[in-house]
Amino acid sequence: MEPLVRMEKISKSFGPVRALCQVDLALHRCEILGLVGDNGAGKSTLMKVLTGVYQPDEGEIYFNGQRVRFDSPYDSRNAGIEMVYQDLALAGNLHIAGNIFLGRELTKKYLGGLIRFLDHKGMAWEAARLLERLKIEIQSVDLKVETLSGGQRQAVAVGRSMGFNARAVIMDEPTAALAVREVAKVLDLIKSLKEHDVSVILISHRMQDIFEVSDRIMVLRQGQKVGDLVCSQTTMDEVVALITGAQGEALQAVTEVA
Amino acid sequence: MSTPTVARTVPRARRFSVGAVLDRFGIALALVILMTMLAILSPEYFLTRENLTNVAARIAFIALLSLGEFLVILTAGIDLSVGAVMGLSVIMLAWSSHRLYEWYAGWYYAGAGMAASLPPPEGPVILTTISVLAIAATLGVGFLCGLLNGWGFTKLRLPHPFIMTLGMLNIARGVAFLISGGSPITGLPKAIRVFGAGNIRLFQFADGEWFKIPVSFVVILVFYFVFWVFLTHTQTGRHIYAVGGNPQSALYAGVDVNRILNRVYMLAGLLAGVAGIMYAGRINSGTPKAARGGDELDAIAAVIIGGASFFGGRGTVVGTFIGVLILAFIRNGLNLLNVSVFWQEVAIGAIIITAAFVDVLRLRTGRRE
Repeated sequence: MEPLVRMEKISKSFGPVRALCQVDLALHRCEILGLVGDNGAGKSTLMKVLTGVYQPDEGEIYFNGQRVRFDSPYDSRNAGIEMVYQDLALAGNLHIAGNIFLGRELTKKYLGGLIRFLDHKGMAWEAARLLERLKIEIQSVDLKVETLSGGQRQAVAVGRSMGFNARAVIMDEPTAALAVREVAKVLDLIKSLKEHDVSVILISHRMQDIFEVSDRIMVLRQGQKVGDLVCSQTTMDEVVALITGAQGEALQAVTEVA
Repeated sequence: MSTPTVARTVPRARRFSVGAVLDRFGIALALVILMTMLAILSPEYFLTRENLTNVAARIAFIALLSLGEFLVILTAGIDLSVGAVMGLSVIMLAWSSHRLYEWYAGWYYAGAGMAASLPPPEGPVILTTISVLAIAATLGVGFLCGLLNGWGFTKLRLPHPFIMTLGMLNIARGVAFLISGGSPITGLPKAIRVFGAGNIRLFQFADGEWFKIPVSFVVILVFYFVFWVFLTHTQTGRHIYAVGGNPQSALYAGVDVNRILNRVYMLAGLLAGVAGIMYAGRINSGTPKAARGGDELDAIAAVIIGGASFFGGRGTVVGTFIGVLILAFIRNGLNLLNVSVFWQEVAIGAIIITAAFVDVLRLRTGRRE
């Protein structure tokens, strides 16, 4: 079956720096793909290429079997690819519903379409239903985001990304800034996305998180793909060795398996 | 499958605490306290019709400048040029109505070939046309200045709106003096004067005196209402708050941040133009004094006193209006109490610092990190 997302031979350079070199990526339907690598390995660049923040120098992207070209995050979002950023990208001064609908506010037309006003009630209702569907418990969507805990903010960010026909959600270090007790909840939330027919690419430095939720793990090192492993058939040691490059000869074997 | 629930430690209690009430109504309370104090200290004059009407008429142009400044500060920016742009608008209004009248007179004499001693007829149609064109030119100038301010920040990528608007302050002031030659251009058509100096008679008191509301006060109420609707009930308004709260998140969410910023500076410029019409109408003259500067600082002060945050994303139209009133009543009240204007400046300075400190406290307590 054709993967939901297929990136083929993606290369990207910034001046003399080769950030990505002929990288392939496949994300299947209802799959959680762990994307790991050291700082500067190219994880973020690859995801920025996928979401249209950067345009690749070489390579092609297929979404749902169709070749696509994303000139901006706006395009990729319309296609159904959402990104949850590490810094959460929420506006603390807006309430939850405002954040969930930011950039795609519901409006009502007045005077035969001459004036459009925000549909406050509609947005609050939809936002509450969305959080309910994802089993995210927050009392009121009227709360300002800055009053929420880190885990709650993460949940709102995930909720926002899920809100609008997302097919694939990219999460950049969703647990990095969280208190320990909140991490499990966010991981559960990530796992539950599968039930909503959504695929996830999870970027994380926390190996235990990757192993808990991923179906597959892809390893990048110095801009190259050095591993693509089925989660249940590998070990943390093996993945760490690939990340650090300590296991040069294993590269061959692993890529053949994949 | 376990149920993913996220910590339910929503700080509900805070929503109904004393702090929250003060946060919400503190500025209004401050205004009430100020007015009560002034009413007590100046019992025979402060609450008279005459005094209140006088204050209402005086705040018009500062209120409009503050509204524009508020929009800009909401995006964590600043517009130093609004005072000078207002001054340029004042000159533009007077200058263009005089030029238009001259053109009309020239056309009349040339076309009709009549005795040059007869003045050209001044029907209401002619004067209204001249007024409308002059007002359009004035608003156009304000709008253009705002447009350039926005471009300087978003297109030229100057480091901070401070720089571009400081440049615009000097340019607008310079052009105002160049056009006027440094001396006032007196005399404006009545249709223009009415905005700044007209009164609406509402009803007659028993003593035969009329209860009057300055037209300019009605105009600013209309503007404040329109901008309240704009900020709280439209998509662009919501995006202005979002850009002020977290420009990065707004960008990620697909908000065209630069377009929002451009619009904000355009509106500030346009409102400075409207303020110019009020100013010129009130004194029936286009005086380059209006461009001398200082009014933008009063506008910034009113916005900060009104509870808007310099960090952006926080503040309300109503708060700004109250900020304008507080500033006006302090000046007015201290005048009534015969306090020296220099002490007035000291008092206002202290109040600005206090208001900003309250904002810092509010951010520190209201936000989780």
